[in-house]
Amino acid sequence: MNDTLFERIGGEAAVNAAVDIFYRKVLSDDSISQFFEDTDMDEQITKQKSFLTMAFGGPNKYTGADMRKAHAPLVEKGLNEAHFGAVAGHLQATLEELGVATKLVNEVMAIAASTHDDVLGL
Amino acid sequence: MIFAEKKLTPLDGESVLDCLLRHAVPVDHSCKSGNCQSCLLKLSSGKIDPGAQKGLKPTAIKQGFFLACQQPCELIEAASFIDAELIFSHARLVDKQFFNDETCRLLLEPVSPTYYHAGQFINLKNPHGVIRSYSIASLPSNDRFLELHVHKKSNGIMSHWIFDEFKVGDRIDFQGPIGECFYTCLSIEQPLILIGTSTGAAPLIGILKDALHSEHQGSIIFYHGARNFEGLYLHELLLELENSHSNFCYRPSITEELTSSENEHSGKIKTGRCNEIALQEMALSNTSTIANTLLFLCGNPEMVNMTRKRAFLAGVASKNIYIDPFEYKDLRQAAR
Repeated sequence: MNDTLFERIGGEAAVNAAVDIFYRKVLSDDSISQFFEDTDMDEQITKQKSFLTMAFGGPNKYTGADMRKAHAPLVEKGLNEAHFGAVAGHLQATLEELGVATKLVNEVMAIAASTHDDVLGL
Repeated sequence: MIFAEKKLTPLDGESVLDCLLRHAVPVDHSCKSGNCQSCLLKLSSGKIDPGAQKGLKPTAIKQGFFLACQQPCELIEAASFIDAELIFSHARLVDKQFFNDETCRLLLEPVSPTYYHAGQFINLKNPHGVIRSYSIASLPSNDRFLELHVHKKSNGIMSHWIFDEFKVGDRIDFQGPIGECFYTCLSIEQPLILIGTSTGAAPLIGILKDALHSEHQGSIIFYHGARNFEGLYLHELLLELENSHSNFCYRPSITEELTSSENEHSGKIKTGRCNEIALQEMALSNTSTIANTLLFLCGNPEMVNMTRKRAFLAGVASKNIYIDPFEYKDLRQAAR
């Protein structure tokens, strides 16, 4: 199987199917919603799409340094390990809800986990 | 930053619009929120922030137009005004009627044919250079003139000018039509929910007329909210439409109590906020209906943004929510 993860998971259509489910879960979670509430919804949806595209192994323009810079204001507001874990949990639940095969879910979760240090500014 | 061949020194993190205004450069502007598009400028050299082109037409993007209020100065090396003829057309006022003391209806005849969708908005620019956005309540296929509803604001320099000085026969400059908040439907079976406060009803009546004209089959519910009965300025028209269309339902509400002389309406008019009433009723619908519903939200920006989020959490798809927040930025700076 030479196809990339992004192709196997369903590409942009998969991102579009996942974004509402994922964002709704994040916004409904009182332990993390504070990090997502401040900006306008269009902007948030665009950001979540970029995040999902990256996590799905798709084409994206983010470097580790970008991730670090983008999350720095949130780290200042108290973003920590527990919040990172909660978001990851919602990502996994979203994929499971969409019936994505376990092997693919694991690959996505591995990519998400790889952003850990940059997101938390460690 | 070089603007129109003059060198300006921006403050840290300043937007192009704020920098120009601070240097007393006479630049058109209104909402300062990236919605109205009246502060469009043209890039000569530098880089445009993606947020400063949100909602612009592809042709405008290609020409390097950007929204000055959303563009940080630091990315711009040089920029200039856009030729006014590229932005403004002219119209003539053919009729002005008052719905009540605070709300009037304008009918405008554009000098050249104007292609638009009911629910989009145009920016009017009066002879003093004041610019404000008004939504279009007319339907291009049925109505000869552009219909706008204007709400008089206590410190509103534009609405006062329109109420007191703008006369039938006068010409006025306008920009647009602009905006994505109009009737477009994947299927005529989709349920539509329209929620509007005050003259937020203007784009919604346009969207409603468009949907009924297109023989929309799905249910349509129109929640109109106002402070008092007078503010429900489309009451008679909406009741009439409700009687003549079995799939259309009109749900008026006011935040004050009905006066004793208005009590005959008490069965129809609820007390409370229209968006709260709508959200409560939506919570009772089944999830597949909600997921398929198209939602249009117009009027008070707080109401629009809060309802948008709650409706999304209740299961409405993000792409199915169309919003038109009426920003009154300049008013807030003035004492009420």
